[in-house]
Amino acid sequence: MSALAAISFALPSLAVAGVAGGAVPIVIHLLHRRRFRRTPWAAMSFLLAANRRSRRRMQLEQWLLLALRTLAIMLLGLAASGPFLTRSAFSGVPGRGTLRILLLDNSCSMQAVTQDVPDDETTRFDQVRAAARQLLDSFPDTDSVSLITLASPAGRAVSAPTRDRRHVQSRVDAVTAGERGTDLNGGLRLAAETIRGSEWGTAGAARTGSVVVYVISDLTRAALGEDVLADAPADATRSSASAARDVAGMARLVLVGVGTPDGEKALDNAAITRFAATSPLPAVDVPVRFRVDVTNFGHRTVEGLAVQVHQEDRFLRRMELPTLAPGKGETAWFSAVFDTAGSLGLEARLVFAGESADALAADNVRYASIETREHVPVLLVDGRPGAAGLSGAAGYLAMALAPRSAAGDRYALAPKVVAPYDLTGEVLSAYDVIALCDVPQLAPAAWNGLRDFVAAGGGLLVTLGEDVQIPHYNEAAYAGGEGVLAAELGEPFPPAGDERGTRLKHEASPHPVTSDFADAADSGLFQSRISRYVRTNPDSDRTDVPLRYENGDPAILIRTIGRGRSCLFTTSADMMWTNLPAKGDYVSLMTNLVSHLAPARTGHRSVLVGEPLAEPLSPAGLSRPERPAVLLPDGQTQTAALSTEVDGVAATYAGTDKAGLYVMQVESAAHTFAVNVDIDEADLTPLSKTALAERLACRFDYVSAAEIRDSADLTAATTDLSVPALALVLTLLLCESWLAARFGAAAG
Amino acid sequence: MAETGQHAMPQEAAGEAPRRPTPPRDYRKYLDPQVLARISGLQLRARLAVAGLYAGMHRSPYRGVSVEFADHRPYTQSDDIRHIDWRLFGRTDRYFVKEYEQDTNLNCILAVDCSESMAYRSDAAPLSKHEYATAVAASLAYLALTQRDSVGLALFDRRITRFRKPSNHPSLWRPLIDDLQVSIGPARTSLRAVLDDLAERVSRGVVVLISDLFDDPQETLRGLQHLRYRGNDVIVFNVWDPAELTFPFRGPTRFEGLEEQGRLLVEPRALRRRYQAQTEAFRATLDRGCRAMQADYVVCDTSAPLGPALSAYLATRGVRARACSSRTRGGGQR
Repeated sequence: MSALAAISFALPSLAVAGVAGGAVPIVIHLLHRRRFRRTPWAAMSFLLAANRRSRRRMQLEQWLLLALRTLAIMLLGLAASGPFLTRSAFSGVPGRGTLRILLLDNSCSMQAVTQDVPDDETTRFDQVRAAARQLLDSFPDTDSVSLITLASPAGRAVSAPTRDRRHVQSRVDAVTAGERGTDLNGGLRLAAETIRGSEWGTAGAARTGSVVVYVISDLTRAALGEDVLADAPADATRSSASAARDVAGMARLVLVGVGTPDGEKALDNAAITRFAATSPLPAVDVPVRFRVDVTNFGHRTVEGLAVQVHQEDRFLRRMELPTLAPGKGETAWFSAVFDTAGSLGLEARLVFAGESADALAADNVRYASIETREHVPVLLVDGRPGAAGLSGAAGYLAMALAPRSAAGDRYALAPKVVAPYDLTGEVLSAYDVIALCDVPQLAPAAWNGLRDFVAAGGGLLVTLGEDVQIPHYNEAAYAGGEGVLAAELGEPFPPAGDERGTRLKHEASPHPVTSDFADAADSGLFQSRISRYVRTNPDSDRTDVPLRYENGDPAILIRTIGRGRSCLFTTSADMMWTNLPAKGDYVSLMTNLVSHLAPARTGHRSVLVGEPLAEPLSPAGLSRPERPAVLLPDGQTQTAALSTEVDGVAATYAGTDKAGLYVMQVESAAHTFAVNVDIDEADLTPLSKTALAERLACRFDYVSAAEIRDSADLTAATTDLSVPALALVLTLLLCESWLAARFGAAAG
Repeated sequence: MAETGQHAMPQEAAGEAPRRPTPPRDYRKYLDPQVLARISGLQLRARLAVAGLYAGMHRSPYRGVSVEFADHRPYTQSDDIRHIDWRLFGRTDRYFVKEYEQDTNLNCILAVDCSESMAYRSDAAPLSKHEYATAVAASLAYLALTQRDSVGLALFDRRITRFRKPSNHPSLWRPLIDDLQVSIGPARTSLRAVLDDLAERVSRGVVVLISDLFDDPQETLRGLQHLRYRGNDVIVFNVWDPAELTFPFRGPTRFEGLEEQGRLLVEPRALRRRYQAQTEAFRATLDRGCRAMQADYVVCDTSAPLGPALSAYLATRGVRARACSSRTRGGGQR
């Protein structure tokens, strides 16, 4: 074995357990010695003499067998812990050298400015580049090198392994850190593809350890695809671990860490983690409520923070934030009124006190896109047409959605009440939500129209009452699950004559319909009395139940049909079966419900850096000769592409390399897109080697970028020692059996 | 097969009328320790063992005691005129006296080891070594008394604890049996001192030593030499338990030595060969030493029949009787 060789373990804890397991034979031996039979003996002098003569030999035999057993168990544990031999750079395959793949992390977090050297603002990516250069300089000329960048989506900077060191060096110099997220999973899979597609890709070559993969990254939680605002590992983390295991099975995996997990030297960073309108249906001259979340990801308390919000060039609001302790977050709320309808972009920016700043500037700004409308049309179909005011369900619902006030307040929702027989005359697509209020029955054509309306993205609310013909609803509206009704109707409960009644059940549900009541168990909603409702038989796989009665029966059911939602309110919307409309919470509940059912018009206009912009085109837009244009944050204008999506043709633009507000001009309308950095990049704390081992669960070497010069074995290749170790275990067991038989025969 | 009724009890040998012959029975089974172990009384054990011994013989040359004519010699002065053969005087007109073969009267000393090591009995043995030794001693005593030999007894451990002078009186039988039934003490064996002491007490007899001989064999042989020096014939019965011969133990065992020899925790399988070599060497030393001094050395396995032990005594007695006869022939001492 070369002096430059060393044995390491993929799972050191298992290796320790294996070594500790070596004590098992010793313990068994000691226990065995404690279990013996006693017998009186007369011929003791002969026994003592025989023992005097044999004692040394017997002890030697016993120690030999015990050592073999102990060694076998220890080796078994070590074999299970994934031992591998790291060999020097000179051990590559003769004539072919070693394949070395560099994965450079150029994600957003690598823009973080380090304070390692005072007055010298270097970024983490500068350290990555320097580490890559050092590694390139240390590789023997006979080795081939490939280069992969990890900014999402991962890509090859050097397409095929090459020995042209100057070319690779130039590609390293050309790579810059952008604002994209990290795609370690994709990078590792590209590395695996590179190995398999090369001459090192055969299984035999992989076992020789002549392939080394270097990941040069800050190795934060985001690098592993983890959601920094969630506790549980994300699927992306599991994917990264799977890809890492795949690579580690074929090559030596070396993680070169930039930055230090040490809390004292960790970088300070605060970030806006969320900026969005909480009013689901913004309308002109109606206050729109916004939420701004700020989190301190650093290890020092931050004071004097403020958030400034602009709508393009218009200053909207400045909010001072309280002191933020490390790891803590704060939420700021504000409302704004917009006097024009259309797509708007807003910017929230974090402002630090004085000259101070944090390590990463990219996450201090966050953008939001909203679309204000003159009003949101809602069609209410009244089952009792002609009833005046609050005498019917439609009346209560209309009042709840747009209360009449002396002050002349505007509301986003604009309900219109029609009779069932007028429904066929309405253009359903002109409405966001349609509500059937205690409608006895509808013509089949009307049900089909509603079905198409919902499938196209509209929202349908069905409330029940005495007039509803349940068999008709089940047959025509539910239609065995193929219709527009959210669930099959059962019998009214309680039966006629039973006056027991029930109440709604409080649950801390995060559902948007009931989230306002999550912390209000004593609110009027849960005090209201329900004298009757219709039992249902929902399909649990396709149906949400945001609200239930005390006995567990569903009160509100929501089923997604196509791009829209169908909701069933299982009691009446008026005072016929419940006194809920008399409670103030009725307004909030119904407003939330209708807002939830209304189609989301701007959800696709909030994306992360690197994700494409896509705006659906109408047939009229397709017929226009000019291509949609995209105005970039830096003032440049680019042309969007046309692509076929699932639900039609859309104008798309993929060059979202920077965060900001992008404006796409489609069919004479401007659509503002908010492009933000992945907030997971804001957590700049690198994972420790132990944390990495727990997450990746594969064998790897870890070295800090600052220690590359001192780590000569980084250029070494690895050889899997599991199989030789198992072979040695087998040999030891055979030797033990043979010696035990031999010693036994000699003794017997 | 001989009729068991031919064998006289000590009282019969002393001149009482012989009992009526009993129905034929196979007494040879009483030589088997397995059978003897089921017989509680030592007295009965001994009688049945001797009966078994006789039942195995075709002819008993030792039956009864007689004064047999050997030869004539000329009458000399001081000869008792009662021995003059008057019929021969009538034919030859000369005085001749009859010569007879004198019936020897052996002094047999039974030396029985009562040390703690004799208490050992393994699971494979029906009798402990001491029980076996007392059965042999009682049988020999009974056998000797039926031959009108004198029987003495010496019980010993580190010293002689009980000594009974030789006597051929039939009434000796019961107290001798009582003596043999003493319990074993915790003392160790010290054969050299015992044999030296015994040599000072008896001479020109037959000393039957019944012991496991767990002592220094060289010292034991010197003690036996002392007995031989005093004109004694020596028969050594070396009593072994079968476990002491085969060492059949398995698994870790702690051997707790009798006679305060400590304890030892060992794996018996690993020691068996060397242990057996040790015991064989021990027996070989004693056998060689006894042969050199013309003493009989008999190894007795407590799971084996008593026959060889008893036969050894009879063989020695026969040799002894013939030797005495040849020495006294012509002596006319009767």
